[in-house]
Amino acid sequence: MHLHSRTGWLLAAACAVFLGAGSAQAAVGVVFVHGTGDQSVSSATSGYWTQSAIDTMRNGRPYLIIGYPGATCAGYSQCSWGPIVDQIVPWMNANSITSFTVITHSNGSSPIRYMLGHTGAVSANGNTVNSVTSRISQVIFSAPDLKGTPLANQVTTSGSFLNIANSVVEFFGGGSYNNPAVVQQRTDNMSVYNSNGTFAGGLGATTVGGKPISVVRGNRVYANLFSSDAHCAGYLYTIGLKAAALLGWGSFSAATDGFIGSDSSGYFGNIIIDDGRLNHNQSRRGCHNSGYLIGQKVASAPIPAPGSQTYAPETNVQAAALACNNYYSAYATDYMTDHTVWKYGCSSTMLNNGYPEPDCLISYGYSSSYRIPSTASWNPFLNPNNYPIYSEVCPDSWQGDGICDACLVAKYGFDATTGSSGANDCVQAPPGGSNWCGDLAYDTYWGVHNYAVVQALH
Amino acid sequence: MTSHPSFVRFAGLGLAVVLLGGFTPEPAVTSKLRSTASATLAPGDVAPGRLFARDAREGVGPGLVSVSNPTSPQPLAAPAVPETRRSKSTLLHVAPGSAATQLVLPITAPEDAWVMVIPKGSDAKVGEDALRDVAMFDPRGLRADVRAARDASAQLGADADRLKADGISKPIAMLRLNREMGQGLYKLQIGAKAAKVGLAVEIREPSSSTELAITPSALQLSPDAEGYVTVGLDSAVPLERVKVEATLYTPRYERDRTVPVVKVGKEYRAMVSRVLTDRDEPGTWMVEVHATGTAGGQTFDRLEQTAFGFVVPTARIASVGSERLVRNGSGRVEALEVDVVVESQGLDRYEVTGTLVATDGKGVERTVAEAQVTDQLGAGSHVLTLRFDAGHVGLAKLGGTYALRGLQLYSLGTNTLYHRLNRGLEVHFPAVRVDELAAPQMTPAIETMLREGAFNVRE
Repeated sequence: MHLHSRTGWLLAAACAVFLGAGSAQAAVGVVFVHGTGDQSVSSATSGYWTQSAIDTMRNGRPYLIIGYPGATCAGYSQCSWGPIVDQIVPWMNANSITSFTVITHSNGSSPIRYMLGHTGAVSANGNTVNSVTSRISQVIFSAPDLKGTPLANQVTTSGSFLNIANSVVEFFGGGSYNNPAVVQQRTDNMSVYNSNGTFAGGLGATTVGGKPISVVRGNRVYANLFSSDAHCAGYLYTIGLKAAALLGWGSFSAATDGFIGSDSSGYFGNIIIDDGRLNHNQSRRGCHNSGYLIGQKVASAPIPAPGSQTYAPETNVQAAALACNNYYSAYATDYMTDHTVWKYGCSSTMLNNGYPEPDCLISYGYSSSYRIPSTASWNPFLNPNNYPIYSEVCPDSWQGDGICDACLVAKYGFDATTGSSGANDCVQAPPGGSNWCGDLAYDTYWGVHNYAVVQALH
Repeated sequence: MTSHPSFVRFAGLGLAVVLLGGFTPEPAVTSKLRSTASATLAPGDVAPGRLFARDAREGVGPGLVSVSNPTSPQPLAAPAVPETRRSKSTLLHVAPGSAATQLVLPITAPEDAWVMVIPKGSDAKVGEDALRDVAMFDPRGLRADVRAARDASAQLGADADRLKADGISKPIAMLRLNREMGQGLYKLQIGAKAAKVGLAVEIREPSSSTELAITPSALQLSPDAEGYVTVGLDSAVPLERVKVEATLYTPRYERDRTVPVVKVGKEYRAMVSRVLTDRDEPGTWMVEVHATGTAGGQTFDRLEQTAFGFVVPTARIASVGSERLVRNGSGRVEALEVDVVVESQGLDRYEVTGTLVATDGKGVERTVAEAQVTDQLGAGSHVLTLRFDAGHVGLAKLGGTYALRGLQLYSLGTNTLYHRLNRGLEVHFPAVRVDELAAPQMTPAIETMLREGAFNVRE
């Protein structure tokens, strides 16, 4: 990754926070509406969104986390959108909010669509929907369920929550498998609600109820076991959602985030993120840079079109291990010293011997209880004593230099530069080729550990 | 978005005009109200038949709300039509609390087929234990589930050790069949533990030529209108001993009653309207269609579901008209208004919505604004005025003769659509130039839309 690029990000984020603070004085806020599930404000904050994701997305603006019965009430029911209205009104009044962005996740889109389509509806507390919608400046639907999900058909017809790693259970809000919000999300029912005006927004619309609509969505469940992208927000969710892709759409590689199909999330709105590595769970947690981009959208800052968005290279220890034959022990020549070195490799015994074995960390992502990527002091790749011939310990300038550095993989999970064409040092060469690899090894001439550069033949 | 300042319930057109003090309604092109009684319905239109005298008990409350919004100048969306839903799958059930049993799974095309064994309930651990009590045998009597599960896991790409470390070793049984396993009747042995938990067994045969297709006759039905679900069965091989059954599910997805099925020519019809009456609750009902028989001598089983709206209408749009331009003191057009007469038989919070369109240089109608007016109304005849803010109308810079489209009446008390006229009874406003329209009151939403070019006309 280019240091320059990372610095740019930090500066941009700092500026955004500053702008956010300014906007907060102008009473421009952000409202978060969760998806299926009966959430309190507390559970929605800590369990559904998480504070760090909220802070990234709100981009310094004052915010309101909504808690409402999003499982026991369908999106069109007063008991669903009513509490949303009744929480926003006092928040606006208490904080002099003149306008706000609404961010929803999953079926949180449904009560908002109802509100945008029925401005004259009245909440249980007597607030008209229009008193809230009139101050909405934009709506960002993250992984919206605009045409329903076949998983809702599955759980209602099978009478089961499809207990795949608990993922589907949670996204349908727990409790009963045929709660009103689940029944509402059946694809056949959503077809009715979309056609009879219950939910506002028609095919291809970019504005609904006079509000610009942006859509953030994933279109694949990326479940590479060794990938940080797959692990973001929890690997079990990822694997469960991948299984759900088969259950709901008939294919592991279907165009879906594992819970919502692309046809549903893309029914209308301007698609500002369309990511193959953003599953349904990850889209509420700001994974794969989505939180940052949403924050930019909240600040009305320009963001690249989906096809031009770039990401930090993913953590991929398996690729590095394969490129550098790190699974195996052997003698090799260190091209820095021309000394013979002993490559440690990683046997099954070493993997669980209680120590942070360097090649086990690189080969499997862990060694006993130690896991990478990590910058902790136990990380042997960050110990200056292991770099006797170097003036620096694993500098970032080694990224993208043509040598697959185990120390960078241990530190960040990858050794590559950022950007769409960023060089990745750890792409395994084809059979007959070789990779240059930096790794800790035992220098047999000096009798010390040293960071050696060796050639891995394939 | 701007709201009409008045929060007063309109008693009639005369009062409406009085309340417009300060504005000058321009003489309308036609002052008469067009009746909906003789209107010809266009595709996607919905018209209530008989009105029912009953009051809504939920979602009601007093207060008139009138709202105008700008829209992106997009062509009008195509009218919604009922969807056809297709199935090459079925679902078998073992009810919770059952004794050990054996299910017969008819497989006509094993290549690419899947059998999903799904434990009932919400407890993943209990379900996982139940799945260990299930075994599948192919038509030759050979154990098939172990190989099929391995093939499925390979496709899933899951790390079994990792899942096991997190306490999950077999959360759901996904069995992938193949051609070598053969077509015919598979057997699923379900032990006592699994039967007690209950199972749903889904069979998918994407490579089969036998397909069930079901289509509602209309998006929504009402007690007085004939409505049904058309059932079609297609196959590349002859179908015999075909049996079609249909079951109704309530809006809460509760299995409700059997629907009679009749054969009409080569298709079947599930006669839904024959079993629904005005005593049934309004909302979205579902129909499950189950078709069995033989295809080329092989037993087949197909299941599909669809939904339709069911309304018990208490009101209709009786007439529309008196369209007019409302000018301010400087002669600028402040608003475009049109009156909608609503005939009601019961108390409800009624909502009238309309969309204003302009015609671009190529003759394409494009939406420029939408208006909505909502009020609580009792039995009787009422006038609601749709007021399009001229500032919103002008944002797309499309002048000329604006037309009313997408006129509809919605019940907030029942969340159902009572009346929709996509062509809006051909109401056209007097021609007006864009520079005659008042400037819009800027809002953050409009500023965002302007910044993003939302009001640009795109081909």
